[in-house]
Amino acid sequence: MNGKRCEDVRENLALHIAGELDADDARAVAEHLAGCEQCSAQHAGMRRVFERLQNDHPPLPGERDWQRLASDAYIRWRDESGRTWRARGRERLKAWFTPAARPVLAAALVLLTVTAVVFLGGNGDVYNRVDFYARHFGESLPGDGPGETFESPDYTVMGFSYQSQPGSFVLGVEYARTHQACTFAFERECEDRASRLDRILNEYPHADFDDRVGYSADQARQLAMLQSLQENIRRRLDPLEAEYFLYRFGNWIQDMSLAVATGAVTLAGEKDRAGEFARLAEKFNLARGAVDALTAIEAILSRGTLEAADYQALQARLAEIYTILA
Amino acid sequence: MQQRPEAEALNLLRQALAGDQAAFCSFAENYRRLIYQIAIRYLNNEADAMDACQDVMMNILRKGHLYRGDGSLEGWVRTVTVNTCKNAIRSRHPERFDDGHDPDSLPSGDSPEQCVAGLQHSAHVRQCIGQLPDKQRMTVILKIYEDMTLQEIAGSLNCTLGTAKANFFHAVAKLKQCLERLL
Repeated sequence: MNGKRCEDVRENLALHIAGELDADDARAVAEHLAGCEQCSAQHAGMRRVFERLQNDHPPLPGERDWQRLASDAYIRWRDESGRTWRARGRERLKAWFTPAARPVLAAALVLLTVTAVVFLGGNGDVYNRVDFYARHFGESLPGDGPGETFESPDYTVMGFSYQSQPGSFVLGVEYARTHQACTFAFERECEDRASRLDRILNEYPHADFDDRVGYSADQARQLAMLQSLQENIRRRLDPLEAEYFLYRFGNWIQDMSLAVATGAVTLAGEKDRAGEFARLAEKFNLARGAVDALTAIEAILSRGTLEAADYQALQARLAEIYTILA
Repeated sequence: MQQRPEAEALNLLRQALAGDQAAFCSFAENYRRLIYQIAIRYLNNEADAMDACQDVMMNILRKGHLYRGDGSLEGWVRTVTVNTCKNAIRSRHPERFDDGHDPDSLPSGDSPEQCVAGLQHSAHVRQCIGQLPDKQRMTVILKIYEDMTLQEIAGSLNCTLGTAKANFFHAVAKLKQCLERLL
């Protein structure tokens, strides 16, 4: 660029200041500027523009606002993933229900029924999952089944945690912490929920239950999807009604859905291994979960307080369960 | 706000995709400055910027499984942010989306006096940036504030190096004209 006209140099001032000229051109511009007062003044003015731009630092959003934004995005993404998952599940259900698959389904239903009888037999209406986990996972849990509570000076945790799927307690607490909400886990007022929930997670001896039973990522995703269903119910129902629903039936919904999901995966992938389904049914307590869930969903539907979308969602879920149990 | 090492941030992203919401919040916090500053400068409106930031986070979650680790994670997050902001402009102001070859004159708007009066420096800078055509605006943001080379910007904006240089040249000329009212 040696000997270039002022016009050529000025066209390159911005690139020069931005460090985008190659070494030869940069040197030529610098030499020209050293000997040209007018271009040098233009260069100074351009540099002030760059400095002005570089000195602009818009304030960032507050950490709390940003965290809320991230949480909302995460929940939306999870809901979205859940919808996709449910759609796939429906397609798979349709795909299995072919004439060829019917004998396999029938065999699975027989096994499921046997499992249900084994689980229900002798227990009557009182079902004790503490014993179940003690038998199947070698867990020794405190308390004596449904209704057990964990008391501390500041809060009461209702004894539902190990009456349902492993992990539901942790999910419940995480849910409450994320949404800064009173959930079915608490009887008392909800001030300082986040710190209180943190303490519970630290203090409660089964907060790491997921890890001990080796919950897989797939199951965690299913639970996340089901948690979003719970959130949806919470949004749509009257608050007290929702509290009641979630406390009374929320975990059963999880059981039922896991029952459908696990059975579905097994049947879809390994149609000739119906025995595997029975083993999984036993492991995840499918039979009882499914029956409880049917009862729960029918009870909710009969109350007629759901909005159309939720009503249809639950009806669809009922249909899925009936397909398996019919 | 100390930025985490890439490996740690990548680990957080993987945990988030596996269902860990807290990990995603930590991941998002790590890129708060990067994401927000591109969005606010490009969209020039706090509410639009925050909406776009949430869209960026959604897109990171949707596309996180596609990130193979062959480029820097920060670069990937920046690309997602740029593309999301471009889409935000398209969806909010479809008539404004341009190919970077807009007329050189600044859009008509407030008079210089009105423009200067009552505006603080930062607001004025962002207003000047906000008046640039979209591709020129993004080029300036990525060059001045994200310290990318024009070659990298060309790749990010899917244009040639020559176009990126032209966009930068025209953008700076317009910014000079706009900012000199204050200088």
